[in-house]
Order: sequence, then structure tokens, then C-alpha cells
Amino acid sequence: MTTSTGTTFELPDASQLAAAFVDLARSVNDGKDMVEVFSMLAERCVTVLSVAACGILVIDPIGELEVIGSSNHSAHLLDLFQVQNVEGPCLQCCRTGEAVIDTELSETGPWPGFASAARSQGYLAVYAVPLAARGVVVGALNLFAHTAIQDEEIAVAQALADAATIALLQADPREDALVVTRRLHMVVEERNTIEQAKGILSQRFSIDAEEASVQLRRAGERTGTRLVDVATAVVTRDNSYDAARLLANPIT
Amino acid sequence: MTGDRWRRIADQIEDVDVSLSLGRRFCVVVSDLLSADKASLALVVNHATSWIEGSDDAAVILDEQQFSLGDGPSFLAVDSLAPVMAIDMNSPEALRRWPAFAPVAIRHDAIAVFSFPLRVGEARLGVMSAYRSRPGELTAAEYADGLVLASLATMALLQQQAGVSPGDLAAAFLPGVTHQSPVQLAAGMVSEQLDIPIIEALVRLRAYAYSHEQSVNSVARSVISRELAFHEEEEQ
Repeated sequence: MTTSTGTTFELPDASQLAAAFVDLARSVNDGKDMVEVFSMLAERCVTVLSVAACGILVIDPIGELEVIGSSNHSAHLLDLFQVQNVEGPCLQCCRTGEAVIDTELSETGPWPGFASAARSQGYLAVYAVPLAARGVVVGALNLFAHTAIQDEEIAVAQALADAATIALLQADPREDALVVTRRLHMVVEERNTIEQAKGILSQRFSIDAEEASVQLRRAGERTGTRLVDVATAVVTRDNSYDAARLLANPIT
Repeated sequence: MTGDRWRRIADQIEDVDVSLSLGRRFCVVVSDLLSADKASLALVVNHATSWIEGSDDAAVILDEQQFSLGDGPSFLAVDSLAPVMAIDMNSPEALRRWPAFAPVAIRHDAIAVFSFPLRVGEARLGVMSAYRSRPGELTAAEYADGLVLASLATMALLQQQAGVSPGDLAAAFLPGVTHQSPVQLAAGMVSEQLDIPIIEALVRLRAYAYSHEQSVNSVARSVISRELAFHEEEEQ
């Protein structure tokens, strides 16, 4: 395929792409919690697209953009999500419902603070693709790249965003506004519980948040427990859960 | 978009007669925005209420009864950590679902009951309830207002427990001030450092922020970067 710049571009490996969609569908069917589904999706985006980092943000009932899934958990990346409550591509994307592409990240552009923070992390291009269903925008998929990606990849990102939105809502936001509000609220609170559990484990094992996240997932996988249930058991120190007992020591 | 609903409701609470207690101020706004006849705010520890404020005596009794009976939307909201909407206490379904509480509700003319947990993640503070004398659901907008009110009440009560002057609501009402991931991560760390429940860790973070004139967020960052450890603070 030839793009306008004349360089050759190959679409993401079709099998990888298919795997991303299958994963998403399967995890929803398996009853995995939404935070887990979205973290997987964010990781998949990084595998399938030529981007360095990915995050999924939803507009919570309060009106704040909240990160519910991200490809990695570095504090710098979280800051880049957070700052977009004030300015940045995600905020604009959520306001307009249109995808936002910024390959300039100019300090004289529409979001100078965000642009300079992104640049200082080595990113040269940022994308925000709406999470929307039937005209109602509920959040954005945020991509960070070291070099600009192609239009075709943005289309793939949009398709993944659409799949994620369907998984998130399972309702028509025009007709079931209350259901959608409820789900958005629950997913943010689940994220809060998971963060609290990560904090407990990072203190217990002297590890960082990223490693704590891995520990939580391992405990879930070993015991067949949903991530949010593992997190709840950790936070409430409920040792009736195998997962909580398992996490008395680091899982290798 | 961002924070509009939050700001509007926070302003409305700040505008309520400041001579009223914090709980009563919330009850006034809950009744107004959710078109309710009564409203209440209860702190709950281990499935028992430790403090209740209501718009009137009946609202307080309705809350008390639910926790002593172990039945009812307010009780379930705390237990399940999810909002509970009971739209018609006179219906056969309601009598089945709330066998102990429905007759009490009807006696106090609470025909529809809407209860929102006061929570942050797994940290449970209590419950906010609205009681209507007529059956029917909340609209989507009322429901969203209810969630925001519950969030604001959670922030205000955390702040109150942290010893911050109850008059100073503005600091508690900054959008997202305690919802942000770093604060929850730091609360988990403090909870483990001091071997205290997560709710207490959130209060400690807030108390530290207040006494050191920092934002909760910047205190959280110091905890995460391990510049600040609460178990070491206590030893000093």
C-alpha cells in the first residue's frame, strides 16, 4: 500500500489484529471486569499499532476524564492523561466527538502544556480517537507514538475503540443514559479499588505500581478470580479468598 | 464539559445556609435535585450507623431502621457498593425484596427510595438516601446528580474526619481531588504501612495534606516516590 508520503505502509498483521478483537470479545464473555478488558485492549493497541503507549479514558459522571486502562503505568504517562482534564487532544476529542491528530506537539499550539510534557517523554505524535456509540461520546482512546503513524492505523484504532465502547456500554446511550452513567461510574470505582490494591502490594513487596499490577493479575490467573475481586480481597484483607492468601508473598 | 455538573452542584451546596450542619446542607440539595421529600446522610461502620443526619426526623428513622433490620436500599447500597433504586415500596416485588423494611417505609410515606453509597474504590464511608412519597424512577439526569452528590458528600466527610474546618468546603470540592489514581495508590501504601483500613488511610493522607498545606495529590506523589512514609512519620 502506498501512502501520500510515498512510503510503503503495511497494515498491522491481520492475525494480530484478529487476535485483538477475539481477546476483547472473549474477555467480555468470560465476565472479566472492565478495567481488565481495557488494560488488555491498551496493551493490544501497542502490539498491533506502531505506537509506544496507549490509554483509555472515560468521562465519569462527575465530568472528569478518568484513565481506566493503560499500556503501562509509569507516573509520567499517567500525568499525560491527567493533564488532559485541563487541555489536550482527549479533552478536544471528547468535546467534539472527532478524532484528534497532533504530529506537531507545538508549544504554540492549542495545548502547549500537554505538548511540552509529551515531548519531554519522547513522544512526537499523539492521537485521540473517540469512544462513542450512537453519537454519544463517553471517552477517548489515546495513542502516543515516537513517529507519526499512518491514516490506516488510525482507522484500526477507531475500530478497536468502537469494539471497546460496545464492551463498555452494552446499552444504547441515547435510550439508556442511566445505565451508561451507572457503568461509567462503576468502572471508575473498580479502577479505584485496583489502584488501592496495587498500593498495598507495592508497599508489602517494595515494588512499583507496574509490578504490583502484575502481581494482582497473576493472583487472578492462578486462582481463576476476576481482577477486581482480587483487588477487593487485598484491600479488605479478606483471606477467605485464595488470591488474597496467595499474595501474602510475591508470586514469581 | 469537564466538571460542569460537579461545579454546579458544589456551588449549590456551598450556597446553602452555612449555619446549618454539613449533613443538613447536603440534605437540602439532595431533596432539591432529586425531587425528594426527605433525604439523609449516614456514616456506617461495620454495617452499623455511627452518625446520621436527615432533612427531618423521619429520614433519620428510615435510615436507622434499615441498619437495625439489615434490610432496605440504604443497607444494600453500603453492602453492595452500588446505588440501589427502589421505585415503589407498595409493589409486591418490593415487599418480597425488602420484607422487613417495606412496611416501615410505607408507614413513613417513603414510597420510592434511592440510595447511593459513599465510597472511593473499596473505602466505604456510608450512604446518601433520598425518599419520595410517590412511586417512580429517577431520570438519568437526577441519577447523575445523585452520583455527583454522593461523591461530594464523600469528599466532605473525608475532609471532616481529617479534622479540616467544616466551613472550608472549597478544598474538598475540587473536582477529582481524591478520585485520581495516584491518591488511591498512595492510600493503599499508607494502609499497608500503618496496617489500617483503606478509609482511614484516605483520611490520614488528607489530614497530612491539610496540616502541611499541600494538596492531597502532592502528598500522594511523595508517598509513591517513597520520599514520605507514614510509619516512619509516626516514629518521629
